[in-house]
Amino acid sequence: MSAITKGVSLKDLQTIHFEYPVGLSSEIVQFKQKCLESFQKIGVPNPRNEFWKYIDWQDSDEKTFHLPLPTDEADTPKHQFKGHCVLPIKNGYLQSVHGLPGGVSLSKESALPFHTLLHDHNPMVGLCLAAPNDLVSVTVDAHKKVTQPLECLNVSSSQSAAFTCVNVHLQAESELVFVINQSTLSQVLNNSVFNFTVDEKAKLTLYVIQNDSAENTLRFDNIRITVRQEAEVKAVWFSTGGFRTRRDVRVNVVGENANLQLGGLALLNGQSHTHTHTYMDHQIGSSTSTQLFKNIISDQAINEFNGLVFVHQAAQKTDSGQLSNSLLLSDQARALVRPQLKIFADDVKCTHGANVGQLDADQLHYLSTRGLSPEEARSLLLFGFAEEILDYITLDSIKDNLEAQVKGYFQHS
Amino acid sequence: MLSIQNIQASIDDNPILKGINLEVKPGEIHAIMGPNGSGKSTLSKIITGHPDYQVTGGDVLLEGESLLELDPYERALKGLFLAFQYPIEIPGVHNAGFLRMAYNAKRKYQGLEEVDPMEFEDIVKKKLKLVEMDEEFLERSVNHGFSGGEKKRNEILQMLVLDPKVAFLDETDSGLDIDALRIVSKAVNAFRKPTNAVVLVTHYQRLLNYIVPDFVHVVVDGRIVKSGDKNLAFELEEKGYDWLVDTVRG
Repeated sequence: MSAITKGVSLKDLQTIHFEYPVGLSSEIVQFKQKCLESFQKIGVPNPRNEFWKYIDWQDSDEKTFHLPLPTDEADTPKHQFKGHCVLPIKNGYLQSVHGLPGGVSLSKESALPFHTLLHDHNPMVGLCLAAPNDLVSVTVDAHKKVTQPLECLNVSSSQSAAFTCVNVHLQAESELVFVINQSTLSQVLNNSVFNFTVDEKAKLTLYVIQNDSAENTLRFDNIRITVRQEAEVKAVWFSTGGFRTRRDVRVNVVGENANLQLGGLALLNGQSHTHTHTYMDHQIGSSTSTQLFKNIISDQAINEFNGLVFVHQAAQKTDSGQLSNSLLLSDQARALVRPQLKIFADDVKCTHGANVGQLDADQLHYLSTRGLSPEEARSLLLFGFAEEILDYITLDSIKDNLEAQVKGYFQHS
Repeated sequence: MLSIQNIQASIDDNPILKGINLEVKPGEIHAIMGPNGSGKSTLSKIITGHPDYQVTGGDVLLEGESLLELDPYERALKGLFLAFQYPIEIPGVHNAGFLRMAYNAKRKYQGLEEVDPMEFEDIVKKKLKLVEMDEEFLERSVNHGFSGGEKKRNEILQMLVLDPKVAFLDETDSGLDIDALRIVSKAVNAFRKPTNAVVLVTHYQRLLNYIVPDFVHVVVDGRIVKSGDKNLAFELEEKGYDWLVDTVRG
C-alpha cells in the first residue's frame, strides 16, 4: 500500500511518496496529489519559520514511524465516554459506525468538502490530506438538532504515522455536540485535520480530549472552523502529556452576529511541550469571540500560546477577547505567550492578555490555617484554577470524567 | 488552654515581640489592645505559624503541647483559628467546597467520618444564619469580590463551621459598620462555650461593648504592659495609650 517499508522520521516526510489504494476514486487521488505538492512547496516545518520557531525538534528527529495499515491493531483509548455515537477512526481509516443519529450522514467518497484547505498556511494540513487515509465527511441536516454527542475516536497503532481527516458540516439551524477523543500510549505521530463549517444559526459544541504519552507522541492537530451568520460555536480543549503537540486553530468568522467561545486546559509535566496557535479571523462584523487558555506546567514542560485576533476593516462592532493564563509549578517549567491583535476596523472592542505566575504563598498559607495540609491546599488552588475551563463543559459524560482526572492529577503531581 | 510563654519574634531580623506572657483558660475572652505597631497582629500571626515571622524565643502551648514546631495546618487541626485582619481572596476556589474540605479535614483528624455535600449544606446553613449571610455566598469564590464587611463575616462563618478551641480575631471589627459589628459580635457570642476561648485583637473599645472581655491586656513595644478587666478598655478609651507608652519608655 505504501512506498515506505522502513521507519521515517519527521524530517524524512519532506520527500515522502504515497501510494494510494487501488479503487480510490481519481477525484480523491488527484486532490491528494495536489495536497502533497502543496505540502512539499512549504516543506516540513522548521524553526526558521516564525510560527514554528519555539518547537524543539531535536529529539523528535530521532523518532521513527511507519505508515500503518487500516487493519493494524491500535492503542486502546484512555477514555471511554458513555452515551456517545462513536465514529472510530483507526490509523486515519474510518471503521464501522453503529447507530448514527437521524439527520446525520457520513461519507468518504469525495474530496470536495476539503477543497478549501488545499492552500492552507500550515504544511501539515497538506500532508495530512495527501496521505492514503480516508477523507471522512459528516453532514448534519438543516434544522436537525442532534441530541446524542458524536465522538470521533481517533486512535493509531504503535510506531505509526497516522493521518486523520474529518470534515463536519452543520447546515443551517442544526445543532451538534462533537467530541474528538484522542489518546496514545506509545510512540505515534498523529497528524489530523478537522474542518468544521457552521452554517447560519447552527450551533456546534466541540470538545477535544487529548491524553498522550509524554515521552513519545508527536501530535499535529489542525482545526479549522468557518462560522456563518448567527452561528454559535463553543470549543474546549483538554490535554495532558504529549512529547510534542502543535495545535493549530483557525476560525474564520464570515457572518454577522456569530458567537464563539474557545477554552483550553493543558496539564503538562515531564518533558511535554505543547504549542497552541489560534487565529481568530473576524472578516465580517458584529460578532463576538472569547478565548481563555489555561495551563498548569510542571517539571521541564513548556507551553506556548500564540494567539492572533485579526479584525478586518469590514468587521465593525467586533467584540473579541483573548487571554492565556499559566501557572508554573517548577523552576524549569516555561510558558511562552504571545497574545496579539491586528485591527483594521475602528469601532471594535478587543482585549488580549497573558498572565504567568506561581501559586500564591499567601493563599496557600490562608488555606493551611483552616486545617488543609500543604498538598490539600495546593490541590485546591490548582483545581480552582482549572475549574473555570471545566465549567465550560456542559456534557456530563465528559465533565465528570475530566473532573476526576484533574483531581487525580493534582493529588499525584 | 492556651499558654503563651515569654514569646519573642521578629520579621526580617527586626524584633517585634519582646517577651509576651498570656494564659487563656477555657470559657474566657481576652482582649489585646495597643497602639499601632505595638505587635498585636504579629502575636496572632506567629501563633498560627505565618512563614514570614521568626520566633526567636519562648513557647506557645495549646493544651500543654507546644505549637511552634507544628505546621499551620496542624495547629488548625488541633483547634486553633485565626480570623484574618485582611482575609485573602482566592479567585476560582468555591467557598462551599473549601469550607467542606476544611470541615472534613478536621473530622478526619478527629477520627470521624467525612460528610457529603448534602449533609454539609445542612450544617453550614445554620451557621450562615448566625452571621446573616445569604446562601449565595457559598457559591462565590473565597472572599473574591467580597466587600470588607462580607470578608470579615466570612471569617466568622469559617470559625463557626470549624468550631476551634481557641479563636484569635485579628481586628475583626475594623472596617465594619455598626450593623455588621453587631452581627459579628452576636455570632462570636453564640460561638462561646465553657470549653472554648476567644482572643480579640482590637484598637477600639467599641467592640468590647458587644463582646464583653474577661481580661484586657495592653501591648506596647512588643510587651504586655498592663492587664485588667473590661474597665481598662474604658480607661484607654478616655486616656488614650500615651500614658502607658510613657510608662514603658520611662
